[in-house]
Amino acid sequence: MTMIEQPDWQRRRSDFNHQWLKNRLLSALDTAGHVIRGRVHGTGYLQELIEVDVPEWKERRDDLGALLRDFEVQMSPRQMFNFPPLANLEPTARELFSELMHELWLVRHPVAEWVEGAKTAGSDVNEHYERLIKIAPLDAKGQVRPEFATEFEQFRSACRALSKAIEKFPNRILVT
Amino acid sequence: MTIGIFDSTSRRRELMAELCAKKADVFCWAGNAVPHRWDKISGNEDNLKKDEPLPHMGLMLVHGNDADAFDAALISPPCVVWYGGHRGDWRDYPKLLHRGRGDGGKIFEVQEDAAITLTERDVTDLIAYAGAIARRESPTKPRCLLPPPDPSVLNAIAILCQGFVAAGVSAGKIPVGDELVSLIGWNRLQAVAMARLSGRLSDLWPEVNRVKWWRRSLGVSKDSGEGHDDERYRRLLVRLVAALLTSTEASKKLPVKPDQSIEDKTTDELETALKTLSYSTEIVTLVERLKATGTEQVGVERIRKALNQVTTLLSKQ
Repeated sequence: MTMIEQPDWQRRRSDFNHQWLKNRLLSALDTAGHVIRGRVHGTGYLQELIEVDVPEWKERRDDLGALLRDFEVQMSPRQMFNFPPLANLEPTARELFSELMHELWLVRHPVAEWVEGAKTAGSDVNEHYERLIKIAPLDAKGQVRPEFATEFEQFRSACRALSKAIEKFPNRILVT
Repeated sequence: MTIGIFDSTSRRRELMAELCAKKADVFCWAGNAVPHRWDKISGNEDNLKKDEPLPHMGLMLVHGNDADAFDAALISPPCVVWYGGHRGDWRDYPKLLHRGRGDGGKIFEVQEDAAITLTERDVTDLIAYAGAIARRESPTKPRCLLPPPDPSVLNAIAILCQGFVAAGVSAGKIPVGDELVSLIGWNRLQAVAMARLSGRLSDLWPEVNRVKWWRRSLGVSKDSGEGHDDERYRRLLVRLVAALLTSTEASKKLPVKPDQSIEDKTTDELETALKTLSYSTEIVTLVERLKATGTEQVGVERIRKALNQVTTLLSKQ
């Protein structure tokens, strides 16, 4: 009997939410927030944020879409039947129990709610991203534009909400 | 004892330092060669004074991502523990990675996919462990250095029990009003799904109620198909212990030395320890049934008790 590996879906979620969204983007946005509020000097940071960090969303939103699409397949208890000991069940019981466990999983847990919640949060991030990138952060005097500061806060808040929505997904395959 | 923390991520390092500072003096390295003293009162990292000697570190906690930057020879602690893990929110930190390999003077294996929450109690255990290693004793591994829980066998038992219940209710052997039926959620299935499954499940009932079927399904049958294989049965017990071992109770009942693993335990040792764990008795009784000979049946009551217990255990993991 060998241990089931950590599902690939969990690794992908961790790459997206932990490694990128929290450790990189939100961390950079938090620093930029200090700059905007004047607590830290460094308006050049905002330009870099808009040119380098924020545009990564364009690439990462596809990862998010794939992650949400794959959840129901990759985190279903059906996966347990691909590993010992259940992989060795005789075929009839294996097929039937696999189907049974998937159906029971769907009625026991808010699977659709988790996915829809993250989809909506992702759409919000996207909407605010499209607005944010159209606003230059600084005016001619090198001061932060108020409309940028407002849109920046909304984008950051949407990113935080997305992160929270992704955290709601279970961190293991639920079989009960 | 003085604890060193080597971690290039500041928020995580500060959380770890704050926790460890409740039990020891703490010095921090921000992923480079420059140490800072952790000030317990202000909760900040302070520079060392000029020419101030660095105390001897009795224990180093090093984040896995900083493995390349960490030079054990420079600090020469008797015990190094790696930690890390990417599950969940960084605010869940500090988490610790496990599995000491060889004696404590060697570097611990990094297990990126498994983490448990580190507690004050764990820090106390680690300090005692590192102290014993420095004295060249052979201490029992603390809970936080034991292998990560492997719930696969509990998952398998939970699934087989639910299949048993679904087959039983489909065959009319378990009443629809039985609490087992609502426990697994069968009565919440849509009528279409229930109708699609119940006919075929009903046919399985005679099989799933036999000990022989369970033996085969959990992989402990002899190749001939008759009776259980001793070594396969022992390995099943090892997996069961692995699923439970990170609890304090289990780690006390089955002490593991630095150079040992649970895999080395005998069937008797494993059975004895498992029987004394209050939260796994019913599961162990079910597993022990696998040694039965003849055409014995498992029985609804046995499954009821085991399923209740396994559900409780999995809900806590």
